[in-house]
Amino acid sequence: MMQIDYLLTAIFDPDRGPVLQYQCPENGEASDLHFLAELMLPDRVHERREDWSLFFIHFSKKSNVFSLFSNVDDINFEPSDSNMYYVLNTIRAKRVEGTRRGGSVFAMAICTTFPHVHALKPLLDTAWEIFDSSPSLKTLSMLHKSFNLHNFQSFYQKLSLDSSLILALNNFWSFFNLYLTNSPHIMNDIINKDIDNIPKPGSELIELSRDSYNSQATFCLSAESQERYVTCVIPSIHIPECVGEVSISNLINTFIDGPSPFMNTDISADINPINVLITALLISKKVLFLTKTSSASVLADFVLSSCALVSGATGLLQGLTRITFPYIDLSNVESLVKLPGYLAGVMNPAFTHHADWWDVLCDIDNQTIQVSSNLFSDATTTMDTKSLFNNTSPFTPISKDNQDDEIFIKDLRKFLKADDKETLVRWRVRLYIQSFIRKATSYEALFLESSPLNPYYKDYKFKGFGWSWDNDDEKVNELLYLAPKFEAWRQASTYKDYCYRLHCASTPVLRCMDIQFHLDRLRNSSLSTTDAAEIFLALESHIRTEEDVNYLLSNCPLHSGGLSVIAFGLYHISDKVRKAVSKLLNRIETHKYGKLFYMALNKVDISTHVYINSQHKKKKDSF
Amino acid sequence: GNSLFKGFSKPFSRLFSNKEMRILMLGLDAAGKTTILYKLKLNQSVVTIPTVGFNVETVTYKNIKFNVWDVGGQDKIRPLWRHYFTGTKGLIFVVDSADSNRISEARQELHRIISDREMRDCLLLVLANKQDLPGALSPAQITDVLQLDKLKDRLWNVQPTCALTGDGLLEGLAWLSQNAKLK
Repeated sequence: MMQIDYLLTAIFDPDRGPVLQYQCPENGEASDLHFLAELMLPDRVHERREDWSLFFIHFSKKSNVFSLFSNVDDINFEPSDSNMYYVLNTIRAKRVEGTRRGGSVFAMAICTTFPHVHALKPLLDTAWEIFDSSPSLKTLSMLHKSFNLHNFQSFYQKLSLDSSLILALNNFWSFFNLYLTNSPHIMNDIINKDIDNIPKPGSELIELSRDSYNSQATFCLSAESQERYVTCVIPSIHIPECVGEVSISNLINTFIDGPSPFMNTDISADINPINVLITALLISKKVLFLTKTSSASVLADFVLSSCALVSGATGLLQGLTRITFPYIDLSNVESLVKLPGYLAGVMNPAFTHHADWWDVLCDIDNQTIQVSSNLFSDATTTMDTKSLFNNTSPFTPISKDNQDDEIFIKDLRKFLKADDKETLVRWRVRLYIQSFIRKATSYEALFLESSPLNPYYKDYKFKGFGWSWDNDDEKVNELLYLAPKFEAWRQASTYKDYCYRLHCASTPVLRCMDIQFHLDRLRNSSLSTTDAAEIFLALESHIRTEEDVNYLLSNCPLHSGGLSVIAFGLYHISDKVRKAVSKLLNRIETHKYGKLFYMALNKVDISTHVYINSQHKKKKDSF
Repeated sequence: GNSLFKGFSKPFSRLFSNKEMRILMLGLDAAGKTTILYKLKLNQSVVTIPTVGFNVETVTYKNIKFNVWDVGGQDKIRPLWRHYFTGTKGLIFVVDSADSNRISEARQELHRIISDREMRDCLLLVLANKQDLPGALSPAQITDVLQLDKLKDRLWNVQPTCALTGDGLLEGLAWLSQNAKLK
């Protein structure tokens, strides 16, 4: 059962400083959470009336202790040792006239493995009010008890990553409201099928209603003769690395028009701050977010959004949460800077006085991203580091500019103006990270002769993988140009995690062919009829299981054409191909989400599909 | 017109710009650091609660921009003081002159700070605060108990102050500005 594991309070003691006041439950060394006091009471919080924050802590099974830092084995990716917990923390500064120091600062936090902990904010705020009216360990344990009348697992759907992505990347409701205003009930039917499979909520739950993206849960908190009802809106899907109310569009919008991040270095490189941020996080550099004026909650949103950003906005790359600190303070700086790389948020400009503490500094107040001049001072690494960011590299025989990066930024600027900007930006970010991974796969296969990123390509039943280029010269040039970046990424935890997950992947089609590679080729108009025929036939013969269809759909979001890339095959000159595509569409149509994608096809495609099916049936009948 | 102006703007701005000096203000908890900072900044006595982390304000005096960092003084967070040392040109050490019980604790902390390598060139201004309270030690007594006469190769000064009224604060800044080696 998924629970609120710990409920805690901290106080800034006027005589001693930040101290943990109460903890519930308290069971010995294995639950020692005293180190949380400093994190629960962020810098300068005495200037605000209230604030909140969210951060991660790690429980090491090996040493049986909690820590802010995940242990080194874990960062180097040994998939075993520690469990990650989410801490949601609410903070109050109270001024009380007549008391010795005029008041102080208090905080209350919940610690849990429930990933949507941010949605419990109204619950935590109410719990604080109840506690504050009668602050004691007894009140705290009663609150803890009433939290745990609920199984938090029941608030979200246990879906595969591909299924979650399909729901996250496609705003079905708005799409169908636009195109099929009269048949929303079909949607209800389909989405509800999933919901039926979810364990029914316990009787303690007053009410649980649900749509495809959020569920509303009402909790009852009772302690010290108070009974309060609180409703929380909880997201029903969970995507790894996307914690909290992340807004990648806001993150990008804040920094995209900033000055060159290389101002204080001797390099002149015209690279957008967003590209610098992504590269730094990909290759595990020390990335610091700073605010002097915003609240801890705003800071946390920026850090968590950056974490989601480099995951490809969709959990494509994972493992950065292990070195992400949405708020950290000076008391933890020594352990922090020992890490090979991190993503951290601070509220103390004293961090900037130590240039050796960070590689990239993102100043939220001034909306600038700056690369540390220290990053380039070490003579042995200068060449490598420069070429990571620079658009001219010593390896490049023919000049190749960073076209893809520029197109990426141009697209982002365009999408930031759209109504559905967050969905579009996320999709574009996903494509960008995906293309990086695919090019890295091509790089490994070409220069290292095997690719941990894709352990299956040598046994593919249908050849072709990685990125597709127009010709080999272009391919070799681009891969050489990107080589330092790939090599740096190969040392990072997100790389090791990706290889591990792919190695364990169970979706059958992943072992047969590279769907992304071939979908790209299909989208490229210069493909010959014969090549297209081969691809359509391969798709039909290898996309078999429900998981396979899920995987296909997660790569065909509605806003970039959905299944039309497949439906195109209904018009192929070969009868065999038309039949195969028709069969594949039949398979997709019976899939729970596939049906939605099918319905989103244009009418001509649908009638052509129906016609081919009937012709096929006629032929069968006539035999 | 614009380009001409641009060409001149740099040397002009250098001529008129204020010089800057980073000041670190430390001392035991409840010595009055935050009250001093806001009295200097706003010329008002603000009602404070204990400082979580730090406060930082820029105070301009006689064409010098004092970038004053006021860092919380509780026992548990004193080990963090050293992270603020880098780049500090002047230390303001605030003493509660009426708290004779803790004056030797203050002395230990002061000597610990200024023995740090990063603080070897910085000016030391001791503010003997809360002079308005009965039983407050005089500047001479403070000098004595803090053992300032022992200090070698150090420019130091003890200034009696009352943060609530602001008495003595500007004299303190004046001493810093006169003795600062500014670029």
